[in-house]
Amino acid sequence: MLSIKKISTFAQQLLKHSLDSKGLVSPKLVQVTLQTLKLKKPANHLAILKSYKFQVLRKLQETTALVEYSGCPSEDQISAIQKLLSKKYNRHIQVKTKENPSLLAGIRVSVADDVYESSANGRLGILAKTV
Amino acid sequence: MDSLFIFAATVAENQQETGNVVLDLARQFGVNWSSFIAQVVNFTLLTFVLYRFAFKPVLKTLSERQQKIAEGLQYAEEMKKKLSEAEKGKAETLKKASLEAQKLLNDANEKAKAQLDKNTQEASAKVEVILQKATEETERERQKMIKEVQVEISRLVVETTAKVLAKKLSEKDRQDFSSQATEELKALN
Repeated sequence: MLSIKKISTFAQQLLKHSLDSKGLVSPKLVQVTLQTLKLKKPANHLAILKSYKFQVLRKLQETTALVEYSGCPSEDQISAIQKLLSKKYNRHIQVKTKENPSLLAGIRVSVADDVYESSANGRLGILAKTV
Repeated sequence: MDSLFIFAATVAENQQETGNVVLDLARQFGVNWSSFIAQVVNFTLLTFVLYRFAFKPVLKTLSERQQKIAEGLQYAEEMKKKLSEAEKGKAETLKKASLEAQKLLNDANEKAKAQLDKNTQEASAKVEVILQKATEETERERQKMIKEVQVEISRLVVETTAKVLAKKLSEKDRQDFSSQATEELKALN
């Protein structure tokens, strides 16, 4: 019976093999890893799979920026945001966009637990707090 | 005296018509010594008997009663004196008791007054504290109410503004805002 620490370490090693050259999670490599686990079925494979899933999701959150907008930004602006975040976090960040009419105007960028917002709704919120 | 009686008898003899009555009286008049001595003896005996059996006990009784009366009077006098002393003592005791009672009453009044003052001060202090707390509580409630009103007004303002903006902002305005937001994001880094 493997300990939780060993399972976590093993899941991290699996995650390393699931990343591409840019350090992003590669769906193809993840699929290969899962197939291998399915074939080999190591001890505590269910716990390993759970830990691997947690690691992959966390990695995806760390390497993905969700840009919510109301008033679609241009491709150049999205590219600029991606470069900016990659530089800031010192890793490659991929950007996903999503329209959010509740922002009224502007954008909100979320990377893992960090949120950057410059929207009309956010400013109105600040206004409401300061009044 | 005898000559007088003899003269009277002579006169009487001369007066035959008045009889011999006066002559008889004159002859019988004088001292009968035997009768006299007997009467003296009788009187002496009677006196002795009366003195021995009547006067003496009566005098003795009188003396005793006089002594008793004197004793009674003396006793009464003593009692009167004692009563007077007792009255005086009673008056002094009453006066002393009255003074002590007055003193106790004064002490009690002073203590009661002091206690009343103390209670009044404590009650006043308590009332002041209660009033202070009530004032503070009222102020807190007022501030809370003002805050709630401000929050509600802010919410309404923001909500109204958001609705107005949602209706009024054009797609170009939104894109411009997004561009500006991107620039701000760049500036943050």
